[in-house]
Amino acid sequence: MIVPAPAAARARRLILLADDSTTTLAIASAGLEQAGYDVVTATRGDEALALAHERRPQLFVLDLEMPGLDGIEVLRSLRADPLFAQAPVMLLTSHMAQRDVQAGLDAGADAYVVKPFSPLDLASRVGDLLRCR
Amino acid sequence: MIDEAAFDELRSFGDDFLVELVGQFTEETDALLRQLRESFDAGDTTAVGRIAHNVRGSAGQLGGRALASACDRVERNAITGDPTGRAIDLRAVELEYGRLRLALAERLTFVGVAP
Repeated sequence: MIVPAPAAARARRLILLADDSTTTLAIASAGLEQAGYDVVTATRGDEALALAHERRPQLFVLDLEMPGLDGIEVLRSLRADPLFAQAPVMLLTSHMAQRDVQAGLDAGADAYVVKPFSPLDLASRVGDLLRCR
Repeated sequence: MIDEAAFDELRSFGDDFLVELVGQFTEETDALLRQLRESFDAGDTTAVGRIAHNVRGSAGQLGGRALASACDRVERNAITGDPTGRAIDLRAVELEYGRLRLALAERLTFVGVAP
């Protein structure tokens, strides 16, 4: 017997990707869209926050270095906002020093992925984070 | 010159995607390298480090390890090195970018899609 999935499970999940590199946005978007997610993108941190309130994504993937607001500042704003305080947030960055990883996790990130990344692995990590919520 | 595993994964999204991506990368990087040179000439090492960091990330995604390494050296020297900028080797970045552009065009031709 096939049990229909609940409506909430059938709905496509919306991911907000923020990175100042349009090349990186295109690659990450391709992996996530192929995995069945809807994606909205921002190239600035302040643009990401505005887009979050407009589109209400279920998960955030944030670069650390962005104009406007950096990824840590965006993350802190999300954690201070009741709408997104519990939303999964992944940091995606070329900063690989342990102190950078720790700063990201201390600010409330759920995952930290170092570039270069595999877009297929990225989609898999996003799926893991969403299943944990 | 190109990390084949990274390139093959990008190719799995389709030839149209690959052509568009390479075009987007070169357009973005052309502009960034102009800004990099202008920032260097203006003595703005903070901007030099930030731009090199940006190019490092996208170059690595397209499998351009040598360009990513050259950008990494510029970024490190911009942040921690000689404040006069003499240790910042923009020529290496520009040289590796030229090589990567050529290699990407050759790979697109090799897999049968026009660059």
